[in-house]
Amino acid sequence: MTDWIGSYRVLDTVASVRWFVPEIVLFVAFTLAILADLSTDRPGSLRAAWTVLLGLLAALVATISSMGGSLPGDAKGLLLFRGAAAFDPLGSYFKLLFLVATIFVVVLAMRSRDFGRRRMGEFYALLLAVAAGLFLMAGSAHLLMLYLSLEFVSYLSYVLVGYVKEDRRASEASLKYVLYGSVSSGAMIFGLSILYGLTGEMNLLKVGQVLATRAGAEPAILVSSFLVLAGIGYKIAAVPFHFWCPDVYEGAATPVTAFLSVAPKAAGFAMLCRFTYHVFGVNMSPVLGAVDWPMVLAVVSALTMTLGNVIAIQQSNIKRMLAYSSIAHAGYLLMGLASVDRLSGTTSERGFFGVLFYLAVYLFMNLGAFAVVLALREKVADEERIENYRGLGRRAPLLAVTMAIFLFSLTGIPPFAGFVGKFFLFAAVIDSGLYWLAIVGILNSVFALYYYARVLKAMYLEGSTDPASMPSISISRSHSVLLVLLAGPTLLLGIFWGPLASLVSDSVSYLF
Amino acid sequence: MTSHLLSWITFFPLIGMVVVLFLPRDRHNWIRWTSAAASAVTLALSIWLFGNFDKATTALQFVERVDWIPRFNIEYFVAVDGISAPMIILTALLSFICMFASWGINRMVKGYYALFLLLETGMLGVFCALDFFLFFVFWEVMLLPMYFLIGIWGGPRREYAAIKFFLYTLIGSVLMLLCMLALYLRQDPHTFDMTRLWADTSLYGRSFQLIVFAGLFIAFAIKIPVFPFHTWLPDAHVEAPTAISVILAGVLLKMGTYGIFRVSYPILPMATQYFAVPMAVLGVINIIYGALCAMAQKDLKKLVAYSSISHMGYCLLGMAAFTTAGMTGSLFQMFNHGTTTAMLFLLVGVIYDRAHHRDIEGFGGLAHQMPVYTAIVMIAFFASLGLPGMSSFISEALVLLGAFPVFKTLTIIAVIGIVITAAYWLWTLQRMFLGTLNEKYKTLQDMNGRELFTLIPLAAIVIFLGIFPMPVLDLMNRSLGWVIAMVQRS
Repeated sequence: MTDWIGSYRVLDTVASVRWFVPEIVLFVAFTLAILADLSTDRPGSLRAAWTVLLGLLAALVATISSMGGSLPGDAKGLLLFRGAAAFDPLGSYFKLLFLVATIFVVVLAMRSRDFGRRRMGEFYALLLAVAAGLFLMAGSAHLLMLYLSLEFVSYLSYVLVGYVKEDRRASEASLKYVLYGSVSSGAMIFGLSILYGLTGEMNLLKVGQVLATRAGAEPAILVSSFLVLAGIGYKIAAVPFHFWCPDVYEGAATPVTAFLSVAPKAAGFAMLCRFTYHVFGVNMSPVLGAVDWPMVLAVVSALTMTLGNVIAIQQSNIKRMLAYSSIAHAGYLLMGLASVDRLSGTTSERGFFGVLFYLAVYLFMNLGAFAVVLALREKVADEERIENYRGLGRRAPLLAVTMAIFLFSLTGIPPFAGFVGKFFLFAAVIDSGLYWLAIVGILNSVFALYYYARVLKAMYLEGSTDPASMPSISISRSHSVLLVLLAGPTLLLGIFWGPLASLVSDSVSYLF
Repeated sequence: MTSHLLSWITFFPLIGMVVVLFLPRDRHNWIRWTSAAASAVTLALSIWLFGNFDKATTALQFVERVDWIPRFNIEYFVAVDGISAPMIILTALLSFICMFASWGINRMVKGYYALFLLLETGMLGVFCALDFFLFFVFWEVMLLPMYFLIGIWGGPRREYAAIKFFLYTLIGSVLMLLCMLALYLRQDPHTFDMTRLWADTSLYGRSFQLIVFAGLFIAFAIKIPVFPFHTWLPDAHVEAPTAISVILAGVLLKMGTYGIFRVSYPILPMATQYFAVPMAVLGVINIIYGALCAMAQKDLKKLVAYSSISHMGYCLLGMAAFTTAGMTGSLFQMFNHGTTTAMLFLLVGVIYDRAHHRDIEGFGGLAHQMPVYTAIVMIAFFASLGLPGMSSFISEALVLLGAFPVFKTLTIIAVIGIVITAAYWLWTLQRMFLGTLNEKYKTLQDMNGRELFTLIPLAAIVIFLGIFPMPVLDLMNRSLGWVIAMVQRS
């Protein structure tokens, strides 16, 4: 006997295990990492870190191999464990992103001085656990799973942010994170419980199906949808749920900041894609008709990017600047979800495509920018002030060139990958006829250039020409390799993005 | 080589850049000669292109098409016609000359030449591209080196000028991006291929055409620059190093008018006719306003910068008329302004290198001290004010001839601009070169061989085309006829 919900096939627990291998690998690696950490007394030991890296690579292999096979019975996707988690190309794509991001962050953390000489085993193990949590987020197709995976990731993130206990900034950041996080997750579970009460269903797909049959405006549906969106909005730091973001990004150790700015944000977008597709997307207009949901998303998107950019202009601390810039990028990404099909009012393939493509590009360029901050920290005290980037073009050419690539890409200038990403997002917006949003988006790109260019200006245009006051900075070889590994895709995906585009296309086209 | 001629022309500077990057940093002369060689080859190839160009056809020539990103129908599609061919030759010529004009750069020489060569590839790419996406990528590729070239090697206010230039241009290009997407999505199957974009204009409704034209026009107007989008120009031109000012005025400004010829006119004929009068009005404002501003300047370089605004106004006026004479004049003016303004900026550089200031009032009587310099300055000034026998005379006369039957009043006003132009050049000539020599400058050296090498060819072209313009006019005639036919379709 097989159950179907829409074009998704429901599997029982035993049959599900086969499709759950990557997650299982991650949990096994987590245990092994803790054991590896216990096996040594040396504080600077990287034993756990290597275990974690191996675990992540194994999970990468498992994920890729699970993507290859065709699903049983021509299903578009599978619902594992009787509907708790979805296994489909959309989820797998996000899982790849999480793994790549986590691998880079582990390597960054291994080279980081942020943590001093403390025992770091738990840190890497926690990072791995967050990655597992992100997997669950990307796959969650069940109201409870939605909430639990989000909370799982949030709690582990609080710990990661406050990992350096002696650092008051980090502790403050962690506390703020907890407070904002608990309020929004409280709101979210309230919204989810209303949804359950209204529909009597826990599975996201079924919730959508039930809602599709109900005509007219019901305040309860409205309220619950807003509350759920608030919970997800907090995760992606969309306005007005962004207040935690700058403090947390500034306070946390740089590798953690880099991680938070990329992976959980991507997971938030995975959830948002699922939620808009299954709950709103079935029939956007009449059911939840009292509110024009695409318009809500468009307004949030416009506010998010504008606010992020406007405040970023005023920052003199580079981590804070990048924090606001990452808020702005969440705004750009939301453009993709706001771009619905003009005729039917349903979520659009072009929009999803734009979001997924941009997230991959964003991963490389944003991690890259943080990697530069981190590499500089090794050599210069108080490296977070933008003035300290003065003359970097001569002092550390590789660092400066890669930073320039990341910043130009973040601005969205060809021939860098960020341009291609923005190009697809704008294509979606224009296609759906939201011209005003496109105008807001391009004005924001110009704003953004202004503050990114401040760093460029400091690196290349400022600084004394006297070599004595500007000693050159030598970067360790591992950092150089890492920077090149991040800058390479940022440049290459701007020129030959065909392979990534087909991967993204395969990950979304089955939905439409 | 002929089968991929345009690719060679476009990417040869890039090859030069890669070679330069591998040269040792402190071997300045190696870097200079490598760059000069790379641009010399490019120039030679573009002269070859000129020789083999078929003047009797309106068809695209030297076509190369390769799929770039097939999934989105994005192609590497380059070709030339009579509109782009003169621009390619101009770009290759000015880049070659500017390599020598940059000899005086002593700081971070390697970075300078590498960026310059990248810039050259970007510029040539814009003129070759016939896929709108490719066009856009090249358009933006120019932006990055320009920012650094002004910002690192520029004058005292270079940082301000560089970021202002960057922001203005970026606003224009993002607008272009939106318009490009709008056109792309109208086609079925979606395409950026310009020949398909202009094949069937019935796909574009009236309001669609008007909006897209307006967006594209602002994008191009910022580059030209058209009043009121011109304020970046005096800053950028004044702060940029000499060679970069030459490229900015000689090539980059032409991209605006080229874009209108290449993209807006054939693709959006209905809107083109609709906006003809506003374009002509803006052109006349440019002519008069730029000339008046130039008259008020004390800084010689700023004067040249404002004179560019004035002269680009003729291009705009001529192209708005849709007459053969007007269009020919406009395109020929683009070429002539490129050569004369390059001379002017080079000459400003010559005196600045010696006197370390550019204050017009600060000189006087230079004719006695620097006779050769004065002679070439006079050629340049007279060329710029449109003296008969100089190339600009022909192009400006054609513009006015072509515009008069269509816009009588506007053309009469535009003629006043010629008078003001003559006034400010002659007045400058008087203040700087006539009268008694300032005692400070008794020791000033006349021009050296390298400077003469950069200026003599330009002077020769200016005079030759003033007497015998047919080689360039023949080149563009057929294609301009085609553009007019495209515009008249609606």
